[in-house]
Amino acid sequence: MQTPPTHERLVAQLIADARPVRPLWSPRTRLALWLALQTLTLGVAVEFGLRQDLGDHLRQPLFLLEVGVLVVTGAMAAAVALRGAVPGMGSGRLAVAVSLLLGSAAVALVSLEPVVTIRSSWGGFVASGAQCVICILGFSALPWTVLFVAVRRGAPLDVPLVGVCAGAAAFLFAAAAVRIACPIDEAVHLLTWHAMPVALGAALSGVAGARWLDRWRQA
Amino acid sequence: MAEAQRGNAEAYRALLDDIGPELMGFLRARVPDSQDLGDLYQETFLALHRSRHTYEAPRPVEPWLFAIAAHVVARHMRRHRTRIGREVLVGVLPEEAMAEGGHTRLLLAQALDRLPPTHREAIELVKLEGLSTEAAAARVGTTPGALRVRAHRAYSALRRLLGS
Repeated sequence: MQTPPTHERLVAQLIADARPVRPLWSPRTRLALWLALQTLTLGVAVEFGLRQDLGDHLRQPLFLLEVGVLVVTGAMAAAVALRGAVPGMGSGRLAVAVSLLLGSAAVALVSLEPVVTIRSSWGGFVASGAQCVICILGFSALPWTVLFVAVRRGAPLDVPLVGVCAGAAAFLFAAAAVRIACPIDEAVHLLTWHAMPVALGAALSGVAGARWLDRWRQA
Repeated sequence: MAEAQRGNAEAYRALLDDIGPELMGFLRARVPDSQDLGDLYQETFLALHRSRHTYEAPRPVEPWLFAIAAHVVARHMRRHRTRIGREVLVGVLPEEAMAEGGHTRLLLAQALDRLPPTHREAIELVKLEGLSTEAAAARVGTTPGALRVRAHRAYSALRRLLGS
């Protein structure tokens, strides 16, 4: 198969610009570093959380399962985002499917929480919820930025998917941290103020990904 | 490629010269319009150059290269479809479009376009590029058996779409 007549000129131009480049660290290494950062986030949540009965809760399988599913799904989403930033490595449809399944499982688990009748006003419901949303935003801001920059350093092909995964990863870990710290176990509170911000955060991150991760526009 | 990442111009030249014909074959199998081929070839080389830091040694270069090339082609197809959507149909076809094989080629391209991406890839590699099942499977990162199944399904779907 012959190359086009412009091949020689094109190659000469590229070689003239062939400065040494620092190869990207492997997705595995970058994932390990990011998870180390997330461990700090969870540590802060345990240390400064408002929950007085954390010891009791850590013995409850449902609570552990909820936090575990959030953490595992977050780690998988981060892995998909980082792999998706390397051409040819693929973001892994299976991993995306499993992440979605686990995310749904997390929502289902939260729904299984015993119904607690909270005798509080609408204002109280919103005030406590706003506190959780602010905490989720606070816990996710730095990890999301770090992951987004790490992904942008690569060359993601499916930019909206990679953006969604980066957002989901950061917000799921933040939701796990807030689940540890928040003293309210009411299903409505958890679904409204813990699960919804994760979904919205992931969606917004997908939009941000489509806008800022597309390095190919000028290619 | 690892040498090219370190700035070794000779290694980089050797790599680009080496992958040129293979890339051309890849593009030719996917892009029916020969006028676009040169542009896409250049676009792919530029994209490869800009993302050369993402290659991870000692992994094979081909999956990395063809993922970039496939992405460039997909972008081109999207742009092309948008452009076609905005074009105004005329009553009489220009003579050039009626040239030998033009219509059949167009029908085939449209039918291929309607196949799932994995099936389209399988049939393009095996039937249009003429790769062996093993080579095609290695390129897309699957087993020869799975590739054979994809190609067979793609073949059946094409027969159905083309009505014969």
